[in-house]
Parts: sequence; C-alpha cells; structure tokens
Amino acid sequence: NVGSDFTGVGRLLAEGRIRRLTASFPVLPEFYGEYFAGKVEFELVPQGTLAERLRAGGSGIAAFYTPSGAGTMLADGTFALRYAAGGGTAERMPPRETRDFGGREHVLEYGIVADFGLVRAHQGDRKGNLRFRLSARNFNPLAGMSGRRVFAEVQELVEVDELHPDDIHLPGVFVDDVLLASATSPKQPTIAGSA
Amino acid sequence: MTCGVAALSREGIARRLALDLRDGYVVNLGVGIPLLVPRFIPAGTEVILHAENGVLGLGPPPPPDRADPDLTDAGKQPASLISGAAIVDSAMSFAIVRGGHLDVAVLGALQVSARGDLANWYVPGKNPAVGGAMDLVAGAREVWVVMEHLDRAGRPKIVEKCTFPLTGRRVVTRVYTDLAVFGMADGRLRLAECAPGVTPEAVRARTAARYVEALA
Repeated sequence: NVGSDFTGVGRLLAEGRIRRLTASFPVLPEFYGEYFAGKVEFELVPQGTLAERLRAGGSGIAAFYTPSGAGTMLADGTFALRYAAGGGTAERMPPRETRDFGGREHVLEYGIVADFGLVRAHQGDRKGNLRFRLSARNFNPLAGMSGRRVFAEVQELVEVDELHPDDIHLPGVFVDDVLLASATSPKQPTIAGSA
Repeated sequence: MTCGVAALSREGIARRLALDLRDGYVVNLGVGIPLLVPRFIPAGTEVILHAENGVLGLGPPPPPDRADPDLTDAGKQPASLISGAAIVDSAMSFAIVRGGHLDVAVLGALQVSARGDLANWYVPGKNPAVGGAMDLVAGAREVWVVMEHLDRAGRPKIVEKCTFPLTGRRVVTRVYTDLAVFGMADGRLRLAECAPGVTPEAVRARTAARYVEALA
C-alpha cells in the first residue's frame, strides 16, 4: 500500500516515479489526486488476494483461484485502472477468469514476482535471516518472498546464531541485502518538487 | 430518532449483537458500529478477535503510555493482546479468513439486498479502497451486518437490489439495525425481531426489500 506519509511509496509518488500501484487500501489522499488525474494506474485488489499473490509469486505458483472478489467490479472488468487526463476512464482492469468450484464462483489471480522487495524487520543477521516483531510482520515476509532482489532494513543487527533457527520468520535465502535502520529516519522529509 | 420511531442507539445495536456471540467464537470486526461491540460482550464469554494485519486475540486499546508502535489493529490504531494471542503474517491471516476459520465477520454496510448481497466498500465518486472486506465476506462462516436502518438522507439501506458496487453476492447471514434483527432463510431475508417499542409495520415501512416475517 502507499502508506500515509511521504516516507515510503508516498515519496516515489511525490517524485512522479510511480506508473502503477497495486494495493488494497491506499490512505494517502495525494495518491487519489494523481489517480483521478490519469497520472498513476491503480490496480485495486482485495487485501487477502494481494497477500496471497505476493506469497504465490515468491513460491513458484503462477496463479490461483480464490472466491474473494467474485461477482464484484474488481473481477468483472469495470474498475477503472487508468483515467484519461481530461476525465473519463482510459483503461479498465481486465476481467478475471472465473471457474466454479463446489458450486461457488472463484476468480483467477496471478502471483506477483517483483523486481525488488523492500522489507522492514525487527532483527536480522548478516545471513539475511529475519525476525519481525508483533503486528509489524504483516506484509513484510511476503514482500521478501515476492522480490527478486530484496533489501531488508533491520532495527537490530544481531550475530549469526543469535536468532534461533526455530524463531526465524523469513530465512536469508529470500534476502539479498541487510541494512541497519538509521535511528533518525525522518517522518516527513522534504521532497524536492512536491507541493 | 432518525426513523420517527423508538430506535436503538449505535451502542444499543452493538449491545444487541453482542448477545448473540458465543464463547470461543473467532470474530473479525469492521470499522464503525462493529468496533463498539467488544464492550458489550458478556462476562464469561471469550471472543477471539481477529485483525487483518495478523493479530488473533486482539485486546482493548492500551493507555497512551503503553502503546507499542509495532502492535496495532487493522486500522493502524494502537492495540493490545489478550492472553493466548497469536500473530501471523498477512497471508496466514487471510488463510484464517478464507479458509473458513472465522466464525463471524461483523461489518457495516451501505446496502444489504433481499437475497443477502452486501455493498460496503465503495461509493462511486469517492476514493476507492477495499482492504479485506471482500475476503471476509467470501470466507467467514457467517457475515453479520450491523448498521442504521436508514441512511443519512432517510432512505432504506435494506433494498431489493443493491445500487452501490457489491462486496459479495449472497454473503450476509444476519442484519442488526436500530429497528430490527434479520436472519436469512432459503436465500431470503427474514425478520426475526423488532427493537423494543418498534412495530413490524414500522420496520416494513422503512425497508425497501421483500422479506419473510418470522417473529417469535
């Protein structure tokens, strides 16, 4: 998702570097301004479908069927992916393929393999083994699975073997680079060119 | 008193719904009136609250000095955990949802149709965002809608056919409003109960869908 400030994806948005956002619940009002102005494409996906698409993409599963979204405008090809600059819809999200399983309609959703995965973890070692803390885990392991190249920012860099093998949430096999989080990450950095 | 009849307050609707939660239920609460439900869960009834961000066993909001930035509910508000809580990643969290491991999703609504279709995620012209709503209605064993009977303009929210975009088709199993409680039977809405002081005729006059009357 796009976040609620300009520290994460919001910063890329402010810098005009986003072509398409695939998300379930963008919060940043500026994102919608760009979307309705036709400057950013928006693929809106149910949150559970998004999580599973990341997991699937990182797991070698090309696609899967889910009941989430069946019979809605996120599956029937009516949701606007992109608005025209002068108003009106320029392109719609393509309709999902559907199939009946056990008398219920399911929609085909594709796994996501991302060029980069950005992960924030509580602890990590130099082998890339990561451990998350409380509900900050949420999408982080999945972003780590989905990315071809994965950067993990850790709040604590620990020695190898300090994390017990049973306690590792995302093993280093998914992680390429580990960075120690700066203690002074600004909440609202000034972005050149943003209003 | 938006209905011109004795209607329950938002807290009153939440209190009525809470009476129907059973000990051991795993429940997800949407935003709005659903978030009022926990304070009315009877003592001795343990309900395990699930949040989309991976918390199973959500407790009440902590005092400000106990808030932990790494522990929030699905709306990113500071949260606490009950004894026996577990935390999982988002894929596992929605495996719980879609896999049928949630007993009830308690959700607000823009509209509910006569056959149990739900519209609650998008008002055309506003900013579209869906979160986990479509997964919840697709996966929870039961979907209980809790809402005011009429919208702010006084129009019925229980309608023959939804005009707002759907969250799911034929997913609602109960509806709790300030005037009445509905269940579903044979794919049709069924009036099960009127709020104290509310007549079946008053409910009928404020409902734009056909339904069966089965008052106790």
